[in-house]
Amino acid sequence: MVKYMQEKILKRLQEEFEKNTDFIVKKIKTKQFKDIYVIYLESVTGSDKVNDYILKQLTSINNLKGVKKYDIESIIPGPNTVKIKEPDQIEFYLTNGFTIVLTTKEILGFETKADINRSVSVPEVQKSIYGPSDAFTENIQINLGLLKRRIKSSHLKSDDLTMGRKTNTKVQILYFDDITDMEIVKMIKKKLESIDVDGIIDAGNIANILSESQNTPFPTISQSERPDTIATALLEGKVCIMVDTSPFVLILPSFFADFINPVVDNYNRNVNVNFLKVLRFFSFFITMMLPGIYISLVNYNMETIPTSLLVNFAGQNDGVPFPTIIEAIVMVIVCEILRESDLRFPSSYGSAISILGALVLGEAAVSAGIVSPIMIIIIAFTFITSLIFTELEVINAIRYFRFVFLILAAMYGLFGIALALIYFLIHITSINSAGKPYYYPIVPFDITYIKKTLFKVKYINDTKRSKILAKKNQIKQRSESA
Amino acid sequence: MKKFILLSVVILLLTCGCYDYTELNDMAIVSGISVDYQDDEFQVAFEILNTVNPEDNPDASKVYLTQGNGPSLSEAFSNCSLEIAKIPYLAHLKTLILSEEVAKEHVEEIVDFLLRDNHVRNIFYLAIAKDTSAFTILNNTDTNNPVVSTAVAELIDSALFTNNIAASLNYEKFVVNIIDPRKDTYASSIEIEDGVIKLGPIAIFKGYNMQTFLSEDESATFNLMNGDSKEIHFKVSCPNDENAFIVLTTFNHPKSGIEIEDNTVKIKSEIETRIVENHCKMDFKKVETYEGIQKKVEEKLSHDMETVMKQSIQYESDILKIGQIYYQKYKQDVDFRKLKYEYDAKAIINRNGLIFEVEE
Repeated sequence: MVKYMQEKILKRLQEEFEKNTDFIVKKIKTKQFKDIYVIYLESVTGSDKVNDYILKQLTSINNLKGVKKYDIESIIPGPNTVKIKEPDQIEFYLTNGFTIVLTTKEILGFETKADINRSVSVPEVQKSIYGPSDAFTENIQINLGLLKRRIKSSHLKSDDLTMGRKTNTKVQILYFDDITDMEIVKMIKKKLESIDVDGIIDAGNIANILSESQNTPFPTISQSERPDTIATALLEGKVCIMVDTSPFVLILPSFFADFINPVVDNYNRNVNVNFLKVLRFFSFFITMMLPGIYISLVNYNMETIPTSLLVNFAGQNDGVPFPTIIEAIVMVIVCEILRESDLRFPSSYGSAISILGALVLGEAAVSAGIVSPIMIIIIAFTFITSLIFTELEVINAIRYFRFVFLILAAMYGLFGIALALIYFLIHITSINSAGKPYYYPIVPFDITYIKKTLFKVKYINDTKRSKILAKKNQIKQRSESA
Repeated sequence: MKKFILLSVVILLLTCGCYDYTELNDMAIVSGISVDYQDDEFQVAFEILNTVNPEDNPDASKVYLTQGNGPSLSEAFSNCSLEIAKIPYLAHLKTLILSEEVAKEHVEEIVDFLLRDNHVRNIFYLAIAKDTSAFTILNNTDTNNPVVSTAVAELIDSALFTNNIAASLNYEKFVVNIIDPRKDTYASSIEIEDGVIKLGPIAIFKGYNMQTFLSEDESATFNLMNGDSKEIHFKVSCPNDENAFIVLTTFNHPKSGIEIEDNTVKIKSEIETRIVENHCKMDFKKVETYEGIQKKVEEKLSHDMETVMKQSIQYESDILKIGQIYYQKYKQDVDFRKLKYEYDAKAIINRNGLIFEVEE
């Protein structure tokens, strides 16, 4: 590269980063290499690193003897040094915390990223009493480190991608090459490569893009902030997508059973956890169907309620001016508003909102005769059972179907409940996650995966991997009896 | 496809939705019905559960009655509804009480009327008012039995475990027995004694018409023969002393059966008993003592069974389904009265209770 080209590249960079106040260019005059330009973005690079490892070294070049034998790369110490062949790539490296050393001969990039990461903290969303207490951060390298501390195998592969025209976000597709069905990996990679968007800010963006073709309220890609969950998913043969700047890692494919049976169940005794799993499964249907069933029973199928209970219901409804369905819809909507306000408000205000809500909805509404006490019990039970699920998207999907059940029950009674249930089953069995059926392992039935999700066998007896996920190495360990 | 779905949704929404939507407070929950017949008119009364919030009116009674008369049942039922500003809801009916006259003459009309009402659940009890009107029974509320219909239903339910004189069949089975030409039906009865409602003996029917009431002992024996008994008491005189007695009760579920062979009906009954009250001065360490008591029990049981059968024949009421059993075996109908009857009672004492020395 001649002097002319060096000046031209510099000029181009100065034009590109015009009005970027953190764009720094240092000119160092040396005898051996003529003028050297050190270029970096102050906001994303560590100034100590630039100073100690690049500027000090370059300014002391003139004092070195026989320096002509060496090139710049061997003078400047750095664990990650790249030779940039195309000037177009300079922007990428600059924005990724590299310091560019521009000589008349070559363009070199030295990684001098600023340490702008938070430390590894405890999981905030997916809390667990037992099990590890570290969570992913916004740094992809730290996240990969957390994962590799758990999986010490060269078979864990990662395909790197850069996504987003403006954000140039680093994305890694992680999988075991000796377990995972490579068709899933290829399909995901192909999909990701075909995505041409302005920016990827979070893993949620990729999850949305990958699942948008599925017209469903259910989440088809799960996100986890727990490295142990991701490690378990990878060992099962699933594919994980790690995105820089996101503390959540995506798991594909994710099934309905995965969302209501978190991996942290593995840390409890299987006998105890199976009871909870049954309870959770029932809770799912209760929280989705209870208001609808109540409406159908008190408005259409009163003969199914025991007489003494029916008299109690009628007594409590006495004086309430609204039809039961209006009562139910109003209460469900008010509770949704309360939940949303509780989520959005700072946590210090959260408790105040809850107290206000409980007072207004519970005591005052009943005293004022706006709603009946039994309706408060029904709605409260509905919302309490929905809290069993930590996945927000599952709660949102339940809300959608709750309204379907409610409206059909209001129109057709128990027949409406049956219609809504058929709709739910048709819907859930027709969607897929990464090309695999979403209602797996129930439809298609697979006892191997049921033993890991809907029921839990002893860890030592969990010897096989699911056929649908792992095409190779399906036997993963020896059983107790072996 | 989209047009089809849209059309289906529109049809579903506009044509059949909400047609039977009812609010809880618009319904009058009828728990009991009494039907009397007087002066060529049906007199119907509804016992309606009070659904006023107890917090608003703690002194309110649990039920209230409405009455209506009419030459036909439908008119009487309609007139009964005129007194209430709500829709009568019969799906929670617990008891239907009929007067003796209605039971003797008008059951067919009642069965027909109720079968045509698709809101009636057929699992309530039917009871015949003995020696009083049906309305008097339904109106006989007191602090112990604030809801008469429920009290009657509970009396019938619990009788199976106590005195065994109730008919353990609900209205649906009652009607099935009537409709079947090869058997007759029966029902419980209710009477008032010292102002308190009490369970009476079983009323037997021939077709749609009530014939008579059995005695209490006959009712209990009939239940034993019919296989409906859970526990039954036998009071027999001591083998060595006619003036002293011993009481035994069935220990396990009694086994009964009816077999027909060569126009002879064998009515078998096998009971396991335990001694519950002893006034016999006998040596209970001897096997002969038990054999003597067992023989006494068997004789009494045979005699009681014969008495029930005689009543059944006298009133032409095939309550033991002899005609049906005969038809199942020989595929032809028979007049059950013309068959020969044999009774085979077997009693075993398998719990003798406290044994003590007896001074001779």
